[in-house]
Amino acid sequence: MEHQEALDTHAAEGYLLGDLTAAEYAAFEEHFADCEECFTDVRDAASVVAAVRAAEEKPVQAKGGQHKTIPWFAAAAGVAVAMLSAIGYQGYQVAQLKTQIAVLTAPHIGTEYVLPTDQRGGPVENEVVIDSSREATLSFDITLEPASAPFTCKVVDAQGHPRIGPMAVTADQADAPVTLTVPAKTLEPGEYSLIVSGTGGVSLPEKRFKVR
Amino acid sequence: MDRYPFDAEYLRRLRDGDGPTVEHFVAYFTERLTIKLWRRGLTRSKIDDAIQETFTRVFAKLRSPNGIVSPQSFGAFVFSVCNNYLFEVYRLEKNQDQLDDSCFELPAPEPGVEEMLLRGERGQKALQTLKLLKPKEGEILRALFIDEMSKDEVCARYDINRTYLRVVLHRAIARFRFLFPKG
Repeated sequence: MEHQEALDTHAAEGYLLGDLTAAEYAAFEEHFADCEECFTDVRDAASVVAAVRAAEEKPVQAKGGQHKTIPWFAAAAGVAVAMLSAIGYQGYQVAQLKTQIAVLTAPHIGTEYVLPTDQRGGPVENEVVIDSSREATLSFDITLEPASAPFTCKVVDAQGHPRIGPMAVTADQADAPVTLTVPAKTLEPGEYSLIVSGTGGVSLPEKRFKVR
Repeated sequence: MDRYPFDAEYLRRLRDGDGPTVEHFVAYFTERLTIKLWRRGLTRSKIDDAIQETFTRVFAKLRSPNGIVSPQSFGAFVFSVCNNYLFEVYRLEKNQDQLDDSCFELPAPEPGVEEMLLRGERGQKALQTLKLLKPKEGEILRALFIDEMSKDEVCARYDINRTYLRVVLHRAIARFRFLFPKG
């Protein structure tokens, strides 16, 4: 799709409204992958949708004097907040990602936990248990070939759902032990794994730890 | 038009793992792919998985002997890699009807994100801003995104056609952007 066509047809609004055919949808996505102006239109339109939904978050008086939120609106507003978090207003997401990447190498004040280099599914001799009430710093080595950099790191829960990340680590950063900050109260008590993978399908054995 | 100038030099730095270039790549495409995948109705965890897998495949292609032929179309290439991954997932889940020729609807609210109900200050700002929109614009936005009326119903109620519906949304967004409290 040409830029002028996208402007003339208000493609960004059509995209958010679900008012494009599959072919138009694909053509417009291909266009805004490179076009800053059209992507800004899409992001702002998404933010408006999110804000409209967030505005419907209205507490109602429940029995016993406690406030609760209407579930449907709660879900809608949850999506809105998720959108505002994920998409952000005025480039929030970019700033957040830069922050996420920066924490990999920044000095930390939380309790540091060293994750063993290779567990390979066998018995864990020194089980790592972190305290959820305090900020924790996970320290680990990336022993993959530098040629498979950049590496991505993420923390997943016992069901395999990502909870922190994915975050990128360059080959230079992986020369030294990599640290990943887990802010206090980010993870509920349970079992988690740190997954580190590189390009070409290579990955480290999962590094498991517990949160209490 | 403001196009990001992807070129052979950018791809070379990316392939070699240059830190700032990798950071730019991750930030640039995470933001775009997040919106693209949210529009498809994927959950947050599936969005994260899809983005990670897309990045892995893009880097594998960058390092392959053939490399990437058209650096200037790098954005479209990354999106096509993501699409291929989605097709594979849909095939696996036998859910190909999500990719038919019908229009894509906005994703339904996801119950799994209720724990993210917070940041009421932003919601309050949005509410205040919505009040400043023209009454008809606010009503149409609410009808579409809160009451989830079909677009045909909205058009019939306000006596407008589908093209004009986009224009209304365009104006509402522009006004909302202008009025939303900064900072």
